[in-house]
Amino acid sequence: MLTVSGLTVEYPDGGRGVAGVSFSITDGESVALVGGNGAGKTTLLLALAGVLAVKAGTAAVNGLSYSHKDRAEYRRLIGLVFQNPDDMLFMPRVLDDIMFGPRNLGMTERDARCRADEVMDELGISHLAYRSPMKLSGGEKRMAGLAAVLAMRPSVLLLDEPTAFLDPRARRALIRALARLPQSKLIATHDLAFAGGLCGRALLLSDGRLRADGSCAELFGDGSLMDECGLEAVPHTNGEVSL
Amino acid sequence: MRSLKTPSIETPSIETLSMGDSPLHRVHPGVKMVCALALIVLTLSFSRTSFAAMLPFLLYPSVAIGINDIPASLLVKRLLVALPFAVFAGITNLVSDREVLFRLGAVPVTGGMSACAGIMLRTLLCVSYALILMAVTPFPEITARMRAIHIPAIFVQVLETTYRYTGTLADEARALATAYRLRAGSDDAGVRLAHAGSLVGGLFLRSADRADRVWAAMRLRGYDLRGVRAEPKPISLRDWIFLAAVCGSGALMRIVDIPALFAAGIARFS
Repeated sequence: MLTVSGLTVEYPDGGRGVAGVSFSITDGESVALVGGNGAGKTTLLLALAGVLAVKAGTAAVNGLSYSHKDRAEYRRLIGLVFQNPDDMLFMPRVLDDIMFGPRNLGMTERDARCRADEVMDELGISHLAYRSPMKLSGGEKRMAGLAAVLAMRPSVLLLDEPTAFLDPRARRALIRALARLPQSKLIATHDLAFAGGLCGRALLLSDGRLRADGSCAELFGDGSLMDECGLEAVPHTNGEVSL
Repeated sequence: MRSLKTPSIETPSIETLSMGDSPLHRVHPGVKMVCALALIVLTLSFSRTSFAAMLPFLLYPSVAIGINDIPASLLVKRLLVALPFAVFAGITNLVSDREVLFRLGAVPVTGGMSACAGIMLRTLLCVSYALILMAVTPFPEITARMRAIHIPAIFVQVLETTYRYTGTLADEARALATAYRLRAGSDDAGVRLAHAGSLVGGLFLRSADRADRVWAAMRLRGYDLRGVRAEPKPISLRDWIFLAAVCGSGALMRIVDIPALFAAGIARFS
């Protein structure tokens, strides 16, 4: 479970990233984080992951707050999938990238390899194990990045624009994979059809503030609210993703 | 034109090679590191004028290239990066030492020329040992092994992050160069001096931003100063034989001036 209370992040130049954001996500729940460009979605995800310093407020995963002392355990519980998978794939082979986290957790080579094999099986990317990340397609890179995070067995997944750069086929494959994952998910996206299909609930962020928290159907259909937040209303998807 | 999708100029090629399965790849990584270090020390122990005596050490890169399918062109490209530094270090000798040592036909060979050639050969040999080590051993395995033998963690971390930053910098440079060429009017057009400053500045800012994100991704997956320490791996008899062969032959070639013996032999028979 992810609990966020009054979270405020300021940039070093004094600019506001997010201000007083509060919400919670229950176990296994998928929540979309939507908002126009510059609304603070990525900033919020980076702060939740402990990458950006928080000025005020708290975030806790399963009751564990981010602190200097507990940061290693906190980071194990929360997994962030970056918008650009190239930022996450830095090892010579996909297998090494997936084993990178488990190795750092102190797992033996054998256990780390087992963990990597399990994750690759789950996502159906075992055939990519010995490929260089630089030579993968956009969709394959996305899946490899997701696998690298899942290998840490996080309780909460934060995904930043997961459908960016994906063609329809890769997008469908990603949706299927995400729908099967048991973790709680907070998904920052502009892709409202994707959000409406995968998530029952959405958080609407505007100018660093949480403007609304409700069901996707309710929020995405509210033309004036969406317009105010720099988004466009979409018809209700009835919880179905067009695959 | 080099495509945006082309892998980084050098690093990934070496990385790809390091994942191969040749006889040298199968040698214990620690043994390979000791061999590379021993060869570097032996090569550096030659005096600056011992150009000819160092020549037999070319055997190691030649054999490694031959039996491990390492493309010579890849090593040559990398060596060319080190060459200007070697030339710069050696060129002052041409001026400072003009004493003629011997004549090659009509050409007088001075002490400075010999020293310059010696410095260049020494540099190229040492860089080639390091490159071959990287081409036959995955980099993470090298750093894990360094941690296992208690090399200070901060040193290993600096090495790891520098290595990753080099790849990031090369990627960003390639993307920037492609974008520039696409609007420069001609594929062959170089960077105009007026644009060079902003391009280089932009490159460093972009690569620093990207490096920040890569660093964040590493930390989020548990990377810290301790890093990954290699698990103990038994050294086989084959590894010991390899170690003895490389270090033993290196020591022999250091002690015995083989080219001089060879020349003496020719002189005796002629």
